[in-house]
Amino acid sequence: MVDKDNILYARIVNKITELMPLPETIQKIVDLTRNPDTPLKKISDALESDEAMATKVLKLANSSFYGFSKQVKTISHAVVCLGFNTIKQMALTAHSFSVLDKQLDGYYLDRGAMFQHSFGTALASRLLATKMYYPNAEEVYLMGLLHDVGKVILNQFAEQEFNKVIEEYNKGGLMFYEAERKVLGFDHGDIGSAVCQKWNLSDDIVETIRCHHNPEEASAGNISVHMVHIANIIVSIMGLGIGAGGVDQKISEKSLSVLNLKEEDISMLMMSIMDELENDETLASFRNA
Amino acid sequence: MAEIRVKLAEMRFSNKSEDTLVAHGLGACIALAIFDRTTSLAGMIHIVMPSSDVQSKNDHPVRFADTGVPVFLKEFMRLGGNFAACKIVIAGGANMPSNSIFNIGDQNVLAVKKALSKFNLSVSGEDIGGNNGRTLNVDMKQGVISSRVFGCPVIVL
Ligand SMILES: [Fe+2]
Ligand SMILES: [Fe+2]
Repeated sequence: MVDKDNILYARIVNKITELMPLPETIQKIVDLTRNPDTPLKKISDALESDEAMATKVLKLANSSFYGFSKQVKTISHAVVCLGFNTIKQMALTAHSFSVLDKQLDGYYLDRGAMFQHSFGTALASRLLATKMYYPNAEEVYLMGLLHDVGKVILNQFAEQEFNKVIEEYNKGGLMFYEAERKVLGFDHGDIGSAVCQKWNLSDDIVETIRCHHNPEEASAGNISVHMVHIANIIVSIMGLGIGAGGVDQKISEKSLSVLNLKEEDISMLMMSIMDELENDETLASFRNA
Repeated sequence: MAEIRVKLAEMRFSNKSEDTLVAHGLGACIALAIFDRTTSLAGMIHIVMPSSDVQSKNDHPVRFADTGVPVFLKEFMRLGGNFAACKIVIAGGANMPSNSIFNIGDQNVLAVKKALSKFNLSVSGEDIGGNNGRTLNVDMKQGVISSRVFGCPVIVL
């Protein structure tokens, strides 16, 4: 937990709404879906009022993961087929793609790298969720996508402080997020979690993002944090958008045991990630959008 | 100048002096580069895992050291490359620190070297191990192969 008196943290959190606002359409959808009795029509109306967002959601609805035999052509059809939780997740996913398409100099991440890392972690998280028969694999995908979103804020907002983090890290002995904690009193997970809180996302998402480097600190019932933790490390090992910190991350024994993963499973996971990267058109289509 | 990016589980070749071959963001993966001065032919392969045992069919030979290296070397020869005059370099093979259940970086390094030795070849330069991400670069015009850890100076191999 971040110390209540941490001034820098308070300053950054206060800036989140300005630095990383959630578009009105999505805010509306998130709010509407909080009430399970909201008529589907209201959701499709909200989405259709934002044409660019609607196009992106349709693209996601037609990706191979959902496996519809016929193309989903209209938003109202998509909402009926997929239900509003999935639609909400998709709207957030589409928005996150644009938020993550950034260059982060502080982390030695060029523009494509941050995007690739987030996208790869999202895929890997969803693969683990599916393997575990986790009921809400799409939410885990979103967690994977957003796990490092705090880096975008820190990179933008705390440049000076950040140089001290790099210095500390370069001394050796600490992992990158530990260097952040030592210098700043918090890490990019705390900031990412604050972003998700401002966006009004679920408690699970907020906690998983906060604890993705230290899943032991999450509450006992939270399984998704272990999926995102492992996914992030595997994707880093594979070099997908790695920057400062490299593969210098400790895999949590607890996560391995909660998910019951062996060495062979990790190899299979790496294979599946490569298969999905080859087959998934989402990445290309969103980067051009 | 064209930068040819060699992505995960890809191999690329060029004989144009204005080109550079680059593998960005190597973690535990290995980029193996080969450069033949006499013909100005260069190649690079970006290997992800040590052994193809994990796949049931041989669908993706380039992903693995044991199947990727032979495919790569044969293609190099087919394109007119000559091993006697060439430089062979590897970079990558980083490992996670401490209590990890596996050290895929080290395994990758060993597997690539073993696969090379079957062709009686060995590396003339390497930048491997540690916990850091790297980039390997073949500058065809200068004939220089170099690697770089993020935020650190370039190392000529
Ligand atoms: Fe992270
Ligand atoms: Fe990450």
